[in-house]
Amino acid sequence: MQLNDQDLEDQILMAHDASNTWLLAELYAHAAERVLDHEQACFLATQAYVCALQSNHPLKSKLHTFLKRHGREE
Amino acid sequence: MSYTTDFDAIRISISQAKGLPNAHYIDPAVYDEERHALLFNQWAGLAVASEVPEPGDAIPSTFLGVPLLLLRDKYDQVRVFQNTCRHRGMILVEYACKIAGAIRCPYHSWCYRTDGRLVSTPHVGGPGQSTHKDINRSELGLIEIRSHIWRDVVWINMNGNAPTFEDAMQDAITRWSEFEQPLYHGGADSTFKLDVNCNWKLAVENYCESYHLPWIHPGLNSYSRLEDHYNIENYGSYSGQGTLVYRQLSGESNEKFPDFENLSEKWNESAEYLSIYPNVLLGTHRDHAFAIILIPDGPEKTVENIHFFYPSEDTNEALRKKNTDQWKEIFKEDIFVVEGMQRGRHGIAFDGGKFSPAMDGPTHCFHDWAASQIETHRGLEHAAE
Repeated sequence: MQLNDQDLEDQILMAHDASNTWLLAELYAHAAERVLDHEQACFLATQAYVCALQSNHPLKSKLHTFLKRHGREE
Repeated sequence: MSYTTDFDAIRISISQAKGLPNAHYIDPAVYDEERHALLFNQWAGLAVASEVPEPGDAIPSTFLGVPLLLLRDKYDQVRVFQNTCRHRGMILVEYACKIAGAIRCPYHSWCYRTDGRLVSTPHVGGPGQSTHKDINRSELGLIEIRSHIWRDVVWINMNGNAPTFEDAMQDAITRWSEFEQPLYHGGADSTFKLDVNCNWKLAVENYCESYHLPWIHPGLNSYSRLEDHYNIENYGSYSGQGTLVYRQLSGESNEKFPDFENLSEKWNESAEYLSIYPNVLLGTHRDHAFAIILIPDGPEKTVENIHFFYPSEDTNEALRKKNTDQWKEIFKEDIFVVEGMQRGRHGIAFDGGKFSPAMDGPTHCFHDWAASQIETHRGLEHAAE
């Protein structure tokens, strides 16, 4: 998925409106990979992880590993 | 609690006893007291396990004002939780749904596994930080309500203080031990709901006695006469009635439901109907069973959730529907009676009523149980004060 920031934000808002947590997990994970700021990346990865947990998305393991490595998750 | 009940007048021989007085049917304060004494302290029926057939199936409900969540966890175990987030007390699940992964609180997104464990507390330590030294997830799982499945009914003990289910229900389990075999819910055509304007206890009372059958269910007179019935009274846990002339339902080509396996001869023509205190009404026959779960909705309203079960997963759909319709007609015939008794209890001079010593034993048995539970509860409340 190649999106500019505005497209990504729009996609995220649409996915929130549709309560599509599966897609939200992917969009937030994608956003987390794009940002340069580490704190912002952890914030977005947390959003992605919660959506992945709820939707049972396979990204949840990778996101958990990332957050735990950075001391953000148990 | 300011209302006093003359328990001695209720808990004596049926020949002298009176029924529970009006306040136990119409007074909101007594209703609230009975909510604890007769329902939260006991094993009460909530639903049937067949309502959540697959892992992840979740149904929120309100039981006597308490928000509950019935679900089948990912390990196939049926559980009941308080439907309340441990963070800010938000309702977790608003509608019946399939939980794909975790239960996410719609407020701050705390996440719980289907077995109740808290697994994520996003941003709880600040943005992007989901841990905090004062947040111990192992202490913050969903509050689970003690539950047990018997005859597919999900029984719950809200206050967690009842004896084990097996001990509490030992007599009823033993009585129907021959029917301890798989029950298959008939599906969508085998369930319905009735809303009735009466206190839940009147539904129990009407169900457990056969005295009313010739007048309220005259259709039964041709083959199931009053004298073909017997009373069942097990003081302290259940009462009901049995028939000696159960006749199997037949379809257009004389097809019948299969029988439960290895039943003794007695059940060829017998069937029994038990009010299991407090709020579950069960019926069993050689070829089908049913459960009526009474959900009190205030002092003068009750929802009856009715489910039919069969010995086999594969039963004739038309015959199932015919069976459901037949029972629905009978249960609907009872509505004007329980609603009439409810209105009658606003008669200020009604004294609880005079029982027929020959015919009202099962009802007296229920009143004796209810009075004993309320008396104990009041004693404990008094001691606590």
